[in-house]
Amino acid sequence: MVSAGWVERIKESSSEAKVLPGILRPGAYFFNGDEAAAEGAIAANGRFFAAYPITPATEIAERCAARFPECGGMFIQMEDELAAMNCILGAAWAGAKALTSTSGPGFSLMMENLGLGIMLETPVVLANVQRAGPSTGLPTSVGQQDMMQARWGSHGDYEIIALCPDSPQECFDLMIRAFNLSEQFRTPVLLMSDETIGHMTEKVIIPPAEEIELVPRRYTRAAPGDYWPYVPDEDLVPPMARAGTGYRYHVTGLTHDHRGYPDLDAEGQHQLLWRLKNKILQNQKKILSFEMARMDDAEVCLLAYGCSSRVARSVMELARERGIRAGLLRLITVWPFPDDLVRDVAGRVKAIIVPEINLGQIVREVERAARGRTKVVSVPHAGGGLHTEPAVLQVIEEALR
Amino acid sequence: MNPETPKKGTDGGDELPGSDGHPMDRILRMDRMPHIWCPGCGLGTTVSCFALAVNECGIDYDKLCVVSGIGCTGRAAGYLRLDGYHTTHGRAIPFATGLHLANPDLKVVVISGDGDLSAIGGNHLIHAARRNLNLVVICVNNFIYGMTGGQVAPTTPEGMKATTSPFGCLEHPFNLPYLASSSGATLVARWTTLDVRQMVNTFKKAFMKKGFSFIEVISPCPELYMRRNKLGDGLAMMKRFQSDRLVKHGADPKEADLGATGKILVGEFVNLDRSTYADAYFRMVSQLAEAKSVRKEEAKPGGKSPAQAGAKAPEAVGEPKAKPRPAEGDREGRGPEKKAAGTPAVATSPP
Amino acid sequence: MDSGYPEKLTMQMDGTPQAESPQFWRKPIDEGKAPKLVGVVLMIPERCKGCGWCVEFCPRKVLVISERFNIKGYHYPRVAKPEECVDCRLCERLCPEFAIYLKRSPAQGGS
Ligand SMILES: Cc1ncc(C[n+]2csc(CCOP(=O)(O)OP(=O)(O)O)c2C)c(N)n1
Ligand code: SF4
Ligand code: SF4
Ligand code: SF4
Repeated sequence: MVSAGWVERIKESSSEAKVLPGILRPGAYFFNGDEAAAEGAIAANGRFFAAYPITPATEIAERCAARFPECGGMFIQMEDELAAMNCILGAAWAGAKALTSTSGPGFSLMMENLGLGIMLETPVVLANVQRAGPSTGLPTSVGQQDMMQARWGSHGDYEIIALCPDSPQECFDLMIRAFNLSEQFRTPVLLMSDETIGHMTEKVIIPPAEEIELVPRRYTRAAPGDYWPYVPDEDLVPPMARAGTGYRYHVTGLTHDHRGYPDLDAEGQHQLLWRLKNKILQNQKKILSFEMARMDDAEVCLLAYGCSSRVARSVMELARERGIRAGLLRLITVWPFPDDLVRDVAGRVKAIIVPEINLGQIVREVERAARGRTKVVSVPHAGGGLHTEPAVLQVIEEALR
Repeated sequence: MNPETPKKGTDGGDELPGSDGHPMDRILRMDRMPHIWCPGCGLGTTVSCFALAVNECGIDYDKLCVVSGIGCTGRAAGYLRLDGYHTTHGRAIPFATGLHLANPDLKVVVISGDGDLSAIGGNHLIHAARRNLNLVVICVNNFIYGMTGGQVAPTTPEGMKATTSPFGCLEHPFNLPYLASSSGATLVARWTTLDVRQMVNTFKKAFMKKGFSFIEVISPCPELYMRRNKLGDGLAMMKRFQSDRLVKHGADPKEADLGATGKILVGEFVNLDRSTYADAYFRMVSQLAEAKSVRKEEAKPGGKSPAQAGAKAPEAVGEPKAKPRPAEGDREGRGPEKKAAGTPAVATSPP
Repeated sequence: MDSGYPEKLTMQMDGTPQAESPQFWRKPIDEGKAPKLVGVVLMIPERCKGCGWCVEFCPRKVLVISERFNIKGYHYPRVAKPEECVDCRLCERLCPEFAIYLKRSPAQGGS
């Protein structure tokens, strides 16, 4: 008993550029970041959720469990995160816009098949509401410790797109953007939220549906006899074919050629790996997003992302009150890393201060991109709470001394 | 160019087209042949029976998907000219779950090895059976990890040698039909690669079945399992099947334990009907829709008195404030302490 | 139609020149015989890996292992008693290499 029009609606979720019925009425709402992310997924026509509960990401799954059935979507709680990740890959190939959510321990389990998603070039979204680790760590408290795992956590070499929201509103907005990027570049996209943002309740504005721009899936226009799954367009992204539509393609996690058939030598590997990397890097300008505050006259730059950028912002104001010309560079797209932007900023300031809730992850990228043009100072935090403003201020003062 | 996309639809079993090649070539990727399987390996036979069953049962090729994990058996998806997905080790079933639930009109078949499905993927197998997902799982049991060179598997009979059990396997093997049936599979069968006619019939039944089907195919692995244990070649194993197999339809899967020697119980052990996950989900969806329309009726002036509208769907409540969204610039300088100060917004958590 | 391989083959391993592949054995059916089901066994020798299953399990012992090798170096089967074949198709289903198949005799109303 498939309910009438079900398959058609699932297909529309990926093929349509317009927002489908199911999105909340436009207006202002009070949501925590997780709920906002769930609503963002619905607004982006996300219609397939495979879940495994984990604090502090559970609210995303819970809201989707309640909301998806009435939106013409499918929700299933799987037996573990390995299954959840694979399940959304399968759903995406069957035509759904699919997502899952997790936190540290589950993120580790999803790594295996994040790689499969990258290799098969499957558009899906994975939200990681970060908590502090390692291992079970601090289940209910904040961390930003999976930033490098997001980049390198699955084996092999690859490029990844990761976005960091700093408010519930941005959980909503960036969830939509994550889906759009995943469709545009046919790759899994990570929404790297954190416990602070996920559990913080704020006003979230849901815009009218017609104001939301969605990128539909790049379905092939070739006839079934003329189609191979990995013949790329000019921007190196190959169009896709939905399961069950007569294309009868083969795809594999093995290194493969344009036909999707295994191509197991150095040359085949070279071709595929560079295309997968370059389809992101060549299009980096379309992916990059950041926010700059008071950087025009800044002598010191606070570089932060996610929840730490909220502390950084008030530290900036405090510093200004004390006569230090501080500015803020908030990374929204953390991966691919905005090398050029950071290098440019490094040439203009006396120091870049990087507060993050880990023992120094993104600061390494900042150091690399700055190439010695300025002093780069890490402000580490082991997790479980946010930086205090005086502590960060002190680092700024020391750096300028 | 895709070499020859075969014509759509079905061709009856007995009437073969002209002498323009092997009848299975239409459903096989001949541009990938010869396959990688060793001489005397039963995997080709399993694929051959699969192809015949597809040809014979009239299922639309375009609506059939094959998903495999990793292993010798895992290569099966790559040789069938269907929508085919060669996934990661052990994960064929969850991938197939996504395909199936996003498009329940597809028939999704998993073909994978015993190690793939019952060791690394064992958790997925039991849960898919428990949920009664509408999937067909064909598990080729060759008593060993083939692809990686003959290591001990959860199906290796006690005492048998493998590269990682050089002095004999110390563990008791899985009885896969029992595992599947006790987890809730609605069609459970076992055949050997000699029982080709029965295998084809069971495959056909499974393609038409609504619910979770698990078919174990006992297959010779002459290169690794048999050679190391001095059991001869593939033909020798086939002869053992001929003498040792015992057909018993409806047998209790509990009795289907397998040893290195002795009887091999085969047959269709379980065939029952039970609501599938998709059925239950769509029932819930339509109940929710009904409840919603009832509530709408009641909300009208002069509507009916509150009924026992069971399932409540979360809804946006309260006054939507159609304020323009703050532009990026507006948000500059906003600190955490200022969050949502005095916003007259309304909570909309799900009930 | 692309059979995928072995177009390059022109010579058997034992030096016997071989006709264009795939090559079929096709024996005319004796129509005067009893009206039993009769099949024509067709063989694509290059695909065979010589497992011997078709020979061993044919209920009518229609097939025997031939003296010849194919390009892979395997002895492939040969139809020794075509008139005995009852079109049971066991060989077709059993063959792991998709190397052998049946065509119903025209006398049986086949194509
Ligand atoms: C995560 C992971 N672990 C290990 C492997 C290596 N591996 C590949 S195939 C295989 C075993 C396959 O055995 P089985 O499923 O019984 O299939 P068979 O090859 O016997 O048909 C293993 C362990 C892998 N590919 N991925
Ligand atoms: S190793 Fe064993 S299972 Fe794998 S192809 Fe060879 S005979 Fe078959
Ligand atoms: S069809 Fe049956 S009788 Fe004829 S050759 Fe094949 S196995 Fe023998
Ligand atoms: S069954 Fe196939 S591979 Fe084996 S001997 Fe016969 S024709 Fe050759």
